[in-house]
Order: sequence, then structure tokens, then C-alpha cells
Amino acid sequence: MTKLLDVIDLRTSFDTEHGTVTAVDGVSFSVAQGEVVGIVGESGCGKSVTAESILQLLDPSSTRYSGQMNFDGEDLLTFGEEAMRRIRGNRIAMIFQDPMSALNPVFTIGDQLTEAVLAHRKIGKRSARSAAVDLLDKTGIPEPERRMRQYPHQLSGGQRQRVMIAMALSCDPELLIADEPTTALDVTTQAQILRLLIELKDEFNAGILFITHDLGVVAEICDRVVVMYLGEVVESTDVHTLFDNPAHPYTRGLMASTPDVGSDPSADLPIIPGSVPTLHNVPSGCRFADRCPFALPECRERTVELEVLSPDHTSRCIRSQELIGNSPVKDGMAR
Amino acid sequence: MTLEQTVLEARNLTKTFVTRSPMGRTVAETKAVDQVSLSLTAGRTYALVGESGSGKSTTGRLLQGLITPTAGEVIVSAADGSKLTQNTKRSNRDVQMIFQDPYSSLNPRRRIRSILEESLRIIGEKDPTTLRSKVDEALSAVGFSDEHAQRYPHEFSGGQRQRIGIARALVASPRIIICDEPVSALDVSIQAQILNLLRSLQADLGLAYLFITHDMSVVRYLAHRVGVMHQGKIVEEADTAELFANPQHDYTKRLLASVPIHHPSQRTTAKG
Repeated sequence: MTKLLDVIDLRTSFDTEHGTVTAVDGVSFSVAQGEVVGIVGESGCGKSVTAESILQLLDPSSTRYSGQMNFDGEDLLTFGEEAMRRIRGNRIAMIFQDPMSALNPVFTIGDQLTEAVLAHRKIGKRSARSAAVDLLDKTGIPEPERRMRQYPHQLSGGQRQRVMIAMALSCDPELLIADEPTTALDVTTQAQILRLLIELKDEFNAGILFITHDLGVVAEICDRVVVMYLGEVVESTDVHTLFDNPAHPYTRGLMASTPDVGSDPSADLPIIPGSVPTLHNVPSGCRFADRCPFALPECRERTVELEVLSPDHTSRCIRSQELIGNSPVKDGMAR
Repeated sequence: MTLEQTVLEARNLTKTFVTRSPMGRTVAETKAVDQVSLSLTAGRTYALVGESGSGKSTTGRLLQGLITPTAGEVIVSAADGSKLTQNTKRSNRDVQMIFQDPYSSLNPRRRIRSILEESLRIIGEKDPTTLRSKVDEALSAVGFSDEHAQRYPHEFSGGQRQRIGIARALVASPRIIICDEPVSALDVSIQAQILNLLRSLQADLGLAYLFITHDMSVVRYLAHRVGVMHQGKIVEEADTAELFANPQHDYTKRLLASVPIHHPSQRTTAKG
């Protein structure tokens, strides 16, 4: 598989009233053609900022980026605003969590979708409209012709998200960035949207970067997974290794605290104590140490680097070698 | 308190919302809740599941008395065995509510102590000493101290705010708590902390919960009995293990089939 996007040592910092904070701190990962890469973590871990950094959607007056983001051989960070505009929506498209606020309430679905097609393809208005109908049809919306004449409020949440997907696909993007696209949807609708994304990925051979906090969704559609904690990658590997052999205590904690079929209803759920610190209070040493049941004194004394456990598995923990392949996930977590 | 004691009973609850034109003409009638009957038992959790728009939150609000039913009734059994109709001071005290969004459900301009005291004032408690001690008791039940009582909501994280929401429900010494998606807005690690807290409070205080959720994994972990709502009606009701093992209604089957998997090896939709 060809590397489509190769992010190397990305740093995204914001100037705030209380000084500079680094929301994404030395993050590296890549997405290949036809591959679904998940970025997982809780709120405040920097996963959405990572996604927005790729398209440089953050306020330019207060945001600074460094590192490299090679897309099809060119570093996006060297692009000016004009060049980025030709990438956004064209070669890299994005879909968001809340389809209601991403659609304009006073224009019909048809107006908005046709406009998107016109913006990216050199075709006439009439053919743009029929291309829009085709796109809607592809996303599985019943009666696409009728939907074209409707306004966003007349559609259900799942249908609106399909419209957003149709819009994102309007220019055959090579990379689709999906930021929690199913979080606001019902579980039955979520299952349909995930299935749709996989079908479309196979049809267009696009790469997908999927941002989520839900490990169930990761298990469902991702090929590779990047786990983030407080701005850093803490573990990265293929999806099967992640679920079979999680090496980082944070990954193990996330898995253990998600109730599932195996959870004993008579016992308390394992928890990760405390909560994600703010970026103004980044702990020195290992950033997860204060919440970690496996922490040793030395964890707080030095910066912990990503350790390569196998060619395709890295983890930022000095005890990864002990944890990997050892003891079931639920053991050893705080209760 | 003996277990298996019915503390709340809803009989044929119906709520119709009427949409009117600006001139007052009835344009449409929506039956949000349609002939719903259910009962809550002390020390047990009844989960109400269904997709958005199925009427589960409206049912929760009807049970609490935040809105009045178009037809049907809610009967709360008091500790002494007497039956109370809804919206009396006593029933408001007995049935409390926890909301989904811990950010918008706490007044940002009031200190935590004052937010909790208000819950007691509403049900007629005026004595300053009682107010103080009840608030302290509720806060310590959710793991907070007097120092936290002096702070404002913005000084707390999402999970901590939800604990304050729980304390606010507890302060009136209720017997029933309506939990409307109390963990949906929280991260999984925090969600586990809140679920554990709700369970231990139930064990200690014999609370009956109505747990409104769309998350079937949480239902399986927490609920004793489940009602599945679809288009305003309860289409299936069963004990939790039975429902998961033997779903009867088509909609329940669809709901269970949509629950995300827990390991990539269970995939059916995608190539592995």
C-alpha cells in the first residue's frame, strides 16, 4: 500500500491568555491508500486538533505548527493558504460530528450539494445537479430527488450525516478525515453509517483517518490505531494487536473501563482514576503516571520515549515489555 | 426497606404534543408517549432504551412530574405505604432527576452549596442547620468535602459535575432517581467512575432507578429490567439477561445487532 499521508513529529501550539500550550506534541503516523486509521483517546487528548492541523483549520493568528505532513510527496506545512484551499475538500475532505451545524439551514440540500460539486469540478450547473443526485443515491438515501428539494431540518440526523458524506465525496477525495462522525447518532444509525464508509472506501480506494473515543467503533472499522493521551501518541499498532496485546496502561485502562458482555454485573467496573489534566498542567516525566496503576517512581523522573516493541507496534511506557502478552486486560487496574 | 417493593407505578401514560399555527389552529398532534405502563422497584434499575425521538426522555419527565400527562397516571408509593398522586411536595421529594449534560444543568453563578440547598428549599426545608447537614451528607456520599461546596461549577471537570448532579438529586433523600443519559456525555474512564458510584448508592440506599440510555453495554451492566421504546410505545419488556438472550421484537433485535463489537475478530461488516 502506498503511503498517502505521512505525519512526522507534528506539533501544534496555541497562544492563550495564560501562555503557550502544545495540544499536539510530536505526533507521527501515516495513512495508506484504502486504509482506515483510527485516532483514539478521551476529550482533551488532542485527537481533533491533530485532524484539524492536517487541513490547517485552526485560527492562524494564534496557532503554530511544526514538523512535517507529507501528502502525496509534498509537505502540507510548506503550503500557503491559497495552496491549502485547493487541497481542502478537494483531495482531503472532512466530515464532522454534528451534521446539523455543518449544513446551512436556509438552503436546500440540493443547493448545498450542487454548490460543493461546482466548487470542485469544471462542469455546468445542470450536470452538477445530476452529479449531486448520484452522490446522494450512493450514500443510500431513499428518494434522492425529493431530498434535494428539502431543507436540513426536514432530515433525520443519520440522513444529514449521509448528506455530509455525499458532500465530502463530491470531489473524489484521496483522504477522508472523519471526526467522530457517528457520536451524535443512534446506535442503529451508527452501524449503517460505518457500513457506508467502508463501502465507499473500497469503491474509491480512499484512505480514512477516523477520530473517535469509542473502542467499539475502532474494533468495527479501523485497520490501524493510534492511541493519544494529552497530546502524545502513547501506543500505535494494527487493530488486532491492539485488542489482543495492548501494551500501554492507558490503552488497557480504556478497554477495561468500557462495559461489555464480559463485565461482571455484580462487580464494580475497573476505572482509570482521576481525569485528563489540562494542557497548562502537563506532568513531567510520563504524562499518564499520576493515573497509572503500574507507575514506578522513575516514571515521573524522565521523559518516556516511544519504544518499538515489534516492527509495527510502539508504546510509550517503560513497562511495555512486561505488560504485553501478559495478564488479561482487566487484571491490575484500579477498582 | 424490603426489596421487590414497588415504589412507582405508571399506568397508561400518554403525552400528546400539539403544534399550533400562529393563529392558534392545531396543525399537528404528536403522540410522544403512547399508553406506557411500567413499575419501578426499590433497589432495582429499570432501563428505558430506544433511539432518539422514541419518547424515552418524555417518559422520564412524566414520571418526575416535570410535565403533565395527557392521559394516564403516575402513582408514587410513600415509605409508609400510602399512595401519592403526582406533583405534591412529597412526590417531588421522592422522585429526583439526573440530567445528561453536567455543563448546562448547574447554574454557573451559584456555589455548589447553594445549588444543593435550593433542592431542599423547593420541598419546604427552611432550617439552616438541617440544610447544612443534609448538603454535607449528600456531598460526602459522592466523595466531595466541605471545601468543594464553596466552589463554582466551572471549577469542576465533566465527571465531577455529574457527581454534583447526583448529590443534588440525593440531597432530598429520594427513593426514586430518574437518570436521563447520565453518562452519555462522559469519557469512558469517567463513565465507569459514575456507573460505579450509582451502583454503590443504590446498594446503600435502596434507590430505584429509571435509567434512560441508548447504550446497550451500559444496560447490560447496570439494569435488572429493560423496556424497549419505539415510536412512543414500550414494544418489549423483559429481565435484562432474558432480553439479551432472547429478543422478541424486531426493533429489539435490530438494536442489539447494531451494538458495536468489542474485538475486531467479531467483524462482519468489514474485511479484517
